[in-house]
Amino acid sequence: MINRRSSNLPHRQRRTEFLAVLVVLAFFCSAPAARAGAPDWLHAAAQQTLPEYPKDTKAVMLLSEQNTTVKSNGDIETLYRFAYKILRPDGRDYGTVEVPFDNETRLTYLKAWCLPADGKEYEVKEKDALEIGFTEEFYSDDRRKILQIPASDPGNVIGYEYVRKRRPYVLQDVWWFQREVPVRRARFIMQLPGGWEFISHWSNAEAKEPQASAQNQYVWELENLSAVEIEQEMPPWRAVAGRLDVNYFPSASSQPVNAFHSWRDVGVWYSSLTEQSRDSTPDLQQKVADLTAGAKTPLEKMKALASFLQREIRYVDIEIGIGGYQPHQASAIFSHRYGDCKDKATLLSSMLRQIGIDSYYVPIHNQRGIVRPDFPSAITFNHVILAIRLPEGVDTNGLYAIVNDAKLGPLLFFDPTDPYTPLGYLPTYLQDTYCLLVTKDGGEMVRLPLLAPTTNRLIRSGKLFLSPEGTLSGVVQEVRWGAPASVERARFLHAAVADRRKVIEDFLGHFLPGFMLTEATVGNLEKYDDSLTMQYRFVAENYAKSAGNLMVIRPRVIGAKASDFPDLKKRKYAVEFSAATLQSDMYEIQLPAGFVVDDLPAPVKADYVFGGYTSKCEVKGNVLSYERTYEIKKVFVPISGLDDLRQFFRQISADERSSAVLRRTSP
Amino acid sequence: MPPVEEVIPHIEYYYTWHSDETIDQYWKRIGKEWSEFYERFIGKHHEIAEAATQVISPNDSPEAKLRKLYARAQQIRNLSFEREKTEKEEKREKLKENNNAADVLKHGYGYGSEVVLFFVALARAAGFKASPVRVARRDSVFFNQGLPNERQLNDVVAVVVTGSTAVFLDPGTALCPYGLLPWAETAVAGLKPEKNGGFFLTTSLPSDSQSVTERKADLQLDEDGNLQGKLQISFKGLEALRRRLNAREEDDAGRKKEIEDEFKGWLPAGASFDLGAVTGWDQPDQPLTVEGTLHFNGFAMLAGRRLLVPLTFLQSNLAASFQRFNRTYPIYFRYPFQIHDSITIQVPDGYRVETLPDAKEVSPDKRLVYSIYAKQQSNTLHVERTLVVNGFLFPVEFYSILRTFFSGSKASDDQQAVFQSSASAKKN
Repeated sequence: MINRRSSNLPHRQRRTEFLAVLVVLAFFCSAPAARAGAPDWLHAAAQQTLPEYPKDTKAVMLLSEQNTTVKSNGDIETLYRFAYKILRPDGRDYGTVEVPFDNETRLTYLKAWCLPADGKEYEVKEKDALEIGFTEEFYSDDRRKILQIPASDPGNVIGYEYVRKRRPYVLQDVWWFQREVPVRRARFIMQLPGGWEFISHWSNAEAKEPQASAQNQYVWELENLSAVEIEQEMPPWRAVAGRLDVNYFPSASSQPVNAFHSWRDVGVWYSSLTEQSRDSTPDLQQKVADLTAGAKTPLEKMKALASFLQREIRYVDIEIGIGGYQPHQASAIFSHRYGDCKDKATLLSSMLRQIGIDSYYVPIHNQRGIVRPDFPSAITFNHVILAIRLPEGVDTNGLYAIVNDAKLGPLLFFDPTDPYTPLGYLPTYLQDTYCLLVTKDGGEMVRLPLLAPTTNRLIRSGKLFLSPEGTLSGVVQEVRWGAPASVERARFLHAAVADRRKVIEDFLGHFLPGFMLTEATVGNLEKYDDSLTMQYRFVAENYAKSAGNLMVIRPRVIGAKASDFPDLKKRKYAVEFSAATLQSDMYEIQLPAGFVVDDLPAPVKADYVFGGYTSKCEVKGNVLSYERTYEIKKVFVPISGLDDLRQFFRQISADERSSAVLRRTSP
Repeated sequence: MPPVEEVIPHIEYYYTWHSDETIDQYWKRIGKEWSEFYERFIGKHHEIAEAATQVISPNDSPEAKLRKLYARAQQIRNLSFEREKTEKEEKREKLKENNNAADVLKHGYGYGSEVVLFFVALARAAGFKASPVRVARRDSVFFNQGLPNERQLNDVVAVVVTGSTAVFLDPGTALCPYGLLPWAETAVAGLKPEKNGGFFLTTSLPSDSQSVTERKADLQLDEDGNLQGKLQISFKGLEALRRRLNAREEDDAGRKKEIEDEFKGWLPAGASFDLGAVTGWDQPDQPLTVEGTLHFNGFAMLAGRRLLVPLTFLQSNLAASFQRFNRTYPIYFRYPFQIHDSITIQVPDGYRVETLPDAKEVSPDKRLVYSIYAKQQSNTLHVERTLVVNGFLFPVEFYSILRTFFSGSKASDDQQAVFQSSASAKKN
């Protein structure tokens, strides 16, 4: 839901709210503390009555305050205030404060305090902080000040405040009001210039109206917010934590390009940023000609160019200033042979243009559920891929990441940054999520598809022999495509060539104690468009266990579907699988002479909304055969489906451990 | 594997002002320098003698006296085991420097090495022949006597001679019980500094029986194959010390989580453990004991008329380390140890045992022992399992023996007892 607010409140209401806000501001919203000693806001936060928290709560955030002042020239000054009470030794980490800044976001003030439960308070200032360059990118101007607050011990209250000034590239703000620990009080204060308006959107929380004043100031305040703790296989943390997004803009008469009322506005802004990027040079044109020379069809040409981007252009991100949003020129990316995600998209788009194929930037987030389609925002994206307009007549067989656009027709979405996911597929983390299709005249939200289970296959089959002593030997073949192929390719290609055999040994070791791998081959390892194949032979002594005249054997020889399933007890959040998939195991075990099958595991059939599982074990002559299928149909299992999910994995786990009993018929 | 720094190819450079000094001369000189420093710190202080007299009785045996003096030394506030303080905290606390053992007594605090020297001073005051020993911990690199770098000797312990035996003690490590050294200080080279330079010796290595994990389970199995009951685990010796040190800065909730996380690794998918009481965290001379309830739905498998009951539900994480066929580096276990499992499973009424796996005992080398046997007593299945590794560093050539040993033990762990329902048995 979008809340549209401006300062045009009726006079009476405005006065009342103005007085209320004055009271609040007098207490909480003073300028940064100038005098010595901890400020009043920290003492006030420390004196709050706290509810009872679970015993394992490591800290409580007493106050989280974000006070943003927007100036009419677009400059923004934000005062941040945070206070914690440390409850357990694990909570000491909150005493290490990291404040980010860069060349365009100046840190103008930083101070911190500790109020020990007994004893004199401590104060540390910016001069006590350590400054580091901190970045996950290859190069950026991100820096941080790290301040260690003394005596950050259980029972003590710590707090810090800092001010940052910036002129942002987009007129947006986001207020994350939940944390991994409970929050006693959270407050967002926004001061807009006269005549400015804003729109806002709440995610993962009930919308709340702000207190507003005549001075165009707005205050949102929340109390007693629960912790968003990490649970195994939960959706991304940012997809479930509460946040308020705000877009603000000057009066309607002078709308800058970086103020967003709609997704179209975001598209126009991004289009303006990128319109000069897809240039070309003779060298680039020659490269396209060389790469596509042997290709007979447009699709083959597209595959050749996509493969070039994936394999020949190194992922290197250099983000300085607007470089966080704006790609480099295609010619420079080609010349340097490196770039980040938006650079790769740019170069591929430029190359595709040369073979007559249009393509479009697609800003997206690399975690599902962060981008909300009902609120236009540029700052929720962290990745860029490409939508390729398929020429008429292209054979779409094998192209699964297609969305039909009403105006542009079939669009094939492709991520040139992912080195192993071929054209036609989408990386699992980009499926079933929203993205922005940027076109020349704007943009629109698009929901990318969840690829069908049959596009993510693993088929494993084995022909095996059991000796009278219980030794199992034979050959297993695997065929993978889609996500299981990408994952396994990454595993093999990240290993040194000499260590690739160990990848298979490590896998088999989970199921076959004391085995010996006698042969292993991997096919199509670097042919990403083809299925990945594996064949391995092994000998596993003592696989079947003798007990008197009986021999017990586990017919599910290798492969596990249930071993990593999360603990589903005491859970607050849904379970999210990475991808839909269909996987099959088929083993034929030739039994030794002198044994007959005395007991077999019962067949299993489980069918739920999110997935299914079947298995059966049979004897044909002297061959024990075991077949099973495991299917995930939906990647998101809500809380209401967890009982079913628990039962699903229990059935699989029991089947995976089940045994057949053989009886010796001759001495 | 041994510490990474120990196995990666590297070159160590050293610089010296004593270019004509041999390696032996180097260590003699270092020994003299350390001796002068230590003797000055230990000294002969009447306050120390009085403190020793206060805690021991003339009628105490030598060992009893040493234990009391050790306990007195461990009462000193050990600054090495407190969290790192900020500059402002240190300034405010105004801790005074300890220049000698009497200062340690007077101030009531000291760093770990100062606590060791304080203990040596107490022991000498009580008439014992006690000395500090510089040792080279083996948790990050192994000592190389041919490398003249005294920083290799990065810790200090005490050696006390009682009768004809020398006892190595480390009162400077919090929670370390009398008679035991932390594992990284065991079986390592040490320099005993003396006026004439001193000599190298090797610290003691606890036997496998001094680092024991005992797991006892008393469980009930229902007709659907679900298992439930009490599980008690006791950690002794180095097994307890290691866990105590890891959890020393944790509160109850943190300690509980550490134990729960460790137990998750022992249990297969589908099994869970409700942690009950944990006792002995702060009692170094007692075992660290964990109690709780195990739940394992689908533990035993129904196969037609039979119930297949695995001999153990406790997974062997050791076997997982020996999956690969070849190995490049030596095998390093930190310290010798034993694991004993004693599992009693009450089977449902109406089932009788059809076959039990044969007892197994494997010992491919005198340092490795594995045994497992199962027996039935009326309607209970009783399983005893023992694993002994009496060594800590095995050459890479020994890998295949270890691999066979651990994979064989895993295969034996995976054996199943076969029960048959009485009704079906009668029909046979």
